[in-house]
This record gives sequence, structure tokens and C-alpha cells, in this order.
Amino acid sequence: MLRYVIKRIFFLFPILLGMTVVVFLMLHLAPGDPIDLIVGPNVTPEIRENIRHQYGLDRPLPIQYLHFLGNLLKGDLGTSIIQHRPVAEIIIQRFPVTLELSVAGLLISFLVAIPIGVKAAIKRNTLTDYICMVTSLVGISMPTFWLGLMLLYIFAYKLRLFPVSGYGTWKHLFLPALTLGFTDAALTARMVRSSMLEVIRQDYIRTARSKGLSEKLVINRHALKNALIPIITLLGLRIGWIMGGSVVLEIVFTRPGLGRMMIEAILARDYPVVQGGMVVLTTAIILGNLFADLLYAIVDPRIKLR
Amino acid sequence: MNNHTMMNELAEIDEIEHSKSAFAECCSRLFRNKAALFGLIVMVAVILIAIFAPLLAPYDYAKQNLPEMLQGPSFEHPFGTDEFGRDIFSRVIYGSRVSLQVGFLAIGISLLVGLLLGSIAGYYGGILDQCICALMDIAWAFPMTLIAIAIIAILGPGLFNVCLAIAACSWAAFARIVRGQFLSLRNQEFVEAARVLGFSDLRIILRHIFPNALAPVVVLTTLEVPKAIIVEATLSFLGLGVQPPMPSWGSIMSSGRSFLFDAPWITIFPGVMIILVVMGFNLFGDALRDSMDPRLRD
Repeated sequence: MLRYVIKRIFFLFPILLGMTVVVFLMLHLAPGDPIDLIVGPNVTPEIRENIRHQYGLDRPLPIQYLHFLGNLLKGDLGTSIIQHRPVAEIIIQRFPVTLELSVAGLLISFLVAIPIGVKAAIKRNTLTDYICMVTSLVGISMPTFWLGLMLLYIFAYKLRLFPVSGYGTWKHLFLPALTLGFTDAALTARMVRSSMLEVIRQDYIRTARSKGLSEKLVINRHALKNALIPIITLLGLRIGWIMGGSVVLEIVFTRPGLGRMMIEAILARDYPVVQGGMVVLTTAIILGNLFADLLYAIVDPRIKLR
Repeated sequence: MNNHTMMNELAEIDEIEHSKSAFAECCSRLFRNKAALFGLIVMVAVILIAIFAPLLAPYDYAKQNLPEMLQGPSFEHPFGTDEFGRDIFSRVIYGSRVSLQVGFLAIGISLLVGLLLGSIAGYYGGILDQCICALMDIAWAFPMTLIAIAIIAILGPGLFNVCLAIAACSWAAFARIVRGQFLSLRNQEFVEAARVLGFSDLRIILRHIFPNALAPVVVLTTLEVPKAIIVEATLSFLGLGVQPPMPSWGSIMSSGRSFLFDAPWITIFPGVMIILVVMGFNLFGDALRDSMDPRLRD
């Protein structure tokens, strides 16, 4: 087990390094001179060269990259061109907003998806199953932001149960988390259902039944545990999806999170902020994947053999 | 599975062997499936709507008519009007063009890249395979929306850039499936035979392995196009996609967001269209998968 953990953590470094290269190149792959992004085009060549030197943009790319990486390790993500503040400071302020929504969304998703998926599998080909699967199909086919806008209209505007925008209390969190949780649950419930159907066919379930165990015990104790193993692998992929979803929902619900920060920065061409946001989001996703993989190894002892 | 359906399936298997070709059997199974038929009708309908948009749209999609701004759905304007008095119905009809263009173009690019890299990885194996797999894992690990946003941040908004951004993530799904197919096919006897006959690698890949690997690729294509449509709508909603005055379902909703409480219809109808179209593709894709390979049925 320990060897697996060490190996898995060791493999993290090339991925993280590759990610920083891509994020670093973002500024240089963008069409035009990066200087134009920092100062306007109506500046004398002298000042331009001065700023180029000041930002280190006159040095060779590999040196610039090492500099970027060094700063990154020190926790220095550069300075926002628009806000004139350290990017790290902005991110520290904004990250909890995104994290809160992602965690709440993931929780709602699993709380909804597991019971529904199991129910649909047990009652396969009945009305219950069809209703669950049609709802799930509609859920997958729906853009997350559209559902968010609809919930906003109904629950915040028409019924006035929740605030329209902002951040702070659970009331601000509820609608975006519900939106995220529902669209995610739509997919997860399908996976739980087919995983459960797979398990129910196995011999050990027949054995459990023939021992005379109650159906409830067979499902909850024997089937569910094994059916959830593939769902945990899925968790790793869902973390990235959830993060992407919360980025979009921050625009819909006007939440001051990382996603909103990045979209605004892209539209304003504030590259250091975009880069910083990408580094933090991707690192969070990579660590999330690691967590899911390790969890998988703990739950499923067979994985150690690999 | 109850006895009755089992008998049906046995009968179906029997049919394949005795009378119809596998393709005909697949088609007949597909058309007996109501959900698949619904999906197919929706797909054909939206393609026709996109092609004949100028004939179907009652108004010019860009024509402003300020006296009629923000009107609710009515006989003249079935989906209402926006803040410039433009007819939402006409804009939604034209919006189907953007969605389908992006859907097919983006997935077309992914398909080409995925086929190329997937077949190289699966056929040759070795270090090349490992490199391609590492790339796939990276593209796989990050959510489409985030990669797409990052790429738009570099390239700038626009229809073609949106396609590139989507292709940058979805090629991995194609590569993965093609690689798997090649891995299982490359050591089969008919491929060995082709090798013994001295055919070139290119000929073996294109003429012998490729046709056998096609079925799951077709299914995947049907299931990836709707994803691309949703990502396009999301990017356009964020203001990173197709730029005005060209209407896309996402950009109509983006402007509708500012008037959500006074004119919800601007946002409702494009969203309903997306759900319908995406559902159509998904239903058809699922049914296609089931009918091509009954073993995959849940």
C-alpha cells in the first residue's frame, strides 16, 4: 500500500511540471507582443523596452520559465495588471468561495445520485426506473448555467426564498449548490445504476440471497459496497467537472469566486490573473484525482496487485 | 431479464446468423426502438432547421425594432423579443447554425486527431504509445470547460477558436477508443495474414484494421457532438464564444441574463432548444450503441 502511495505521489511531479509549462506559455502563445497587454500601444519605444526589461521579457524563454517556476514555488504568482495587487492575494481571497460551492455541489450530487441509482437498478424496467432515467437524461442534456438561471428566476425572483446574488450565508450557497449537484447527479445516478446492475448479477449476490438474507440486507451490505467502487474512480473525474461547473455558476449567481475572477481577467486580458487561476484550479483537480485514486486503493484491495 | 425478452434476443441472434446482414439487423433493431426514433427525428429536424433558417425565420435575426422590445411570447413573436426588439424565434432558428457548425467541426477535428494518434498508439505500442497515453490522461483529467476557457484566453473568442478549444479536450476520448480497438485487433489472424502477405503498415491500418474498429467510433461521435454543443453554449454564455451580431443559443442566453426577471423568455427558449437537441443526439447515440452490440446493454 505504502509503495503504491509513494509511486502515485511521485507521478504527480511530471504532471504538475507539465501544467506549469503550459500555463507559462499561455502568455507567449497569445497573438501579439505581451508588452501590449501590460501597457497600452501608445507608449514610447523607450518606456516599452524599460518595462520589457522590468518584467524580464527580454530574456530567453527557458530562463523566463525558470524564473516563473521559482516564483511559483515561493508562492508568488505575479501582479495583476488591472488591479495592481499580487495575484496570490486575490486568489487566497477567492478560492474559498469556489471550494465551498464545489464541495457542497459534490455532496448534494452523491446524496441524490446514490439512492436514486440504486432504486432504479433494483426496480429495473419499472415505472420508477423509467422516471429516474428520463429525469437523468434531461439532467445530462441541460447546460448547467441554464438550470441555474431557471432556479434563480423561480426561487429567488418569483418565490423570493433565496437571495438573487452574493455570498456568505447558506442561503446564498443553496441554489448554486443545488444546480451543480443536480446536473452532476444526473450522470452519477446513471453510473450507480449500471454499476449496481452489474453487481446484482454476480454469484455472491445469489449466494447471499440463497442464504436467506433479507433483500434489504443483500442490497445494502453486499451489493452496494461493491457497486460503489467504480463510483469512487468516477469521483476523481467528477472533481474536475464540478470545478468547471462552479466556474460557470459563479457568473450566474454573481459569486466572487475564482471562476468569476478568471472570466473577468480573460475579458480584460489580465494574463497574470488568468495564469494564477489556472495554476490553482488545475492543482486542486490534480490533488483531487490523487485523493480519489488513493481512496480507491483503500476501498478495493485488489488494486495493490497492479 | 425476464424469459420473454430473453427469447426475443435469442430469436434476434438467430436472425443475424440466418437471414439478415449484421448491418440490416442493427438498423431494424434501431428502428424498433422508440427513443432512438425520437432522437433521429430531432437530429434530422435541427439539421433541416439550420439549413433552411432563412426560409423558416419570420424576421431578420439582426433587425432591431425598438418599439417592440422585451415583449413576451405572442402570435407575432412566438418566443418574444429581446432588448433591441429582435425576434427571439428567428434568432433561435439561426442559432442552430452555430451550434451544429461548432458541434460537427469540433468533433470532426477531434475525430481526425483521435484516429491518427489512437491508431499509432495502438498499432505500434512502445514508447510512442506511452507518450500518447500520457497526453490522453492529461486531456482526460481536466474538465472540458476549463481547458476550453484557457484556450480561448490564448486564442481569443470566435467560432473557429471555440472549435479548436473543444477539440483540444475531446480528441482524447476518440484516441482512447481507437487505441483499444487497435490493441485487440492488431494480433488477430487476419492482420497477421496481411502482414505475411507483405502489405505496408499504412495499408494494414487503413484497409484491414480500421473498418473493424469503426463501430464504436461512430457511437462515440454521436455522443460527443451534444457535449460540444453544450460547451459552445457555455462559452458563448460567458462571452468567450461566437461574437455578436451572429446569434448562438449561448449568446442569446448571455444577453437574456441581464433581463432574466423582466423577460425570462429570452433565456428559456434557447435553453429548451439545447435540451431537445442534446437529448436527441444522446438518445440516438445510446440506442446505436445498444443495437450495434447487444452485450453492452446495461
